[in-house]
Amino acid sequence: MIITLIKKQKGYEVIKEFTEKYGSLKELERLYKETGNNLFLVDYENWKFLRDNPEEELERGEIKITNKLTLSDYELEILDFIKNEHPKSIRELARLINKDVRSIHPKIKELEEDGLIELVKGEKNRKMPVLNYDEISIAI
Amino acid sequence: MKKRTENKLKLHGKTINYSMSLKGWSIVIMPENILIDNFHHDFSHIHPDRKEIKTEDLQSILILVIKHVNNNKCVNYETLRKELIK
Repeated sequence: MIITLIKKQKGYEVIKEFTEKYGSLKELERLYKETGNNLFLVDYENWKFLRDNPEEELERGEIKITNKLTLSDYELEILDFIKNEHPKSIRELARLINKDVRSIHPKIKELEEDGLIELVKGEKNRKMPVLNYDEISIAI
Repeated sequence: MKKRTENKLKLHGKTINYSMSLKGWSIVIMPENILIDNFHHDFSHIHPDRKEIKTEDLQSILILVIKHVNNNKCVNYETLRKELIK
């Protein structure tokens, strides 16, 4: 099974990410020259292009090949709520979909392990589920 | 038509990053740090010496790279290079 997670971003959003990651274009150029890491070179070329074309849309995909993913109505409902309701914790998510937090926990763990969601540090050290993609496509 | 795409594929512990734009395309295999692209030249090539690859398009080269990783469960730069430039 091939799963493609797609995130659509405008050029200026990608530049914001690059700035947070590398500091500046000059710093990225220095990093590439110092390490020879070709991913830095690709990011450098992209940054230069997007700087001149900030409205350009970029489609960023992450492709996973797995045989163990099962997406039932329950998991899809969880993904839908995470994407659209932005719960601040797993407890809040459980409340939103009227489920017990203990029953939702293993599902959240599985979705995180499959790479479909991320658990980021939220308020008061709570784990906040985040779905950073605009599309998930599955090919068999 | 999609103008610009960037993808990441994980296979046998390797990450194949490939991107496409109107100006060209690139494939970076990590952690081996192998770059294959067609930027700044009119032909596909493999770095560091920019040796020409006969196959022109990203999809066909990507299939060759994926086949190589699947068959060998690793990346052997010299073998991959031979497979690509023949």
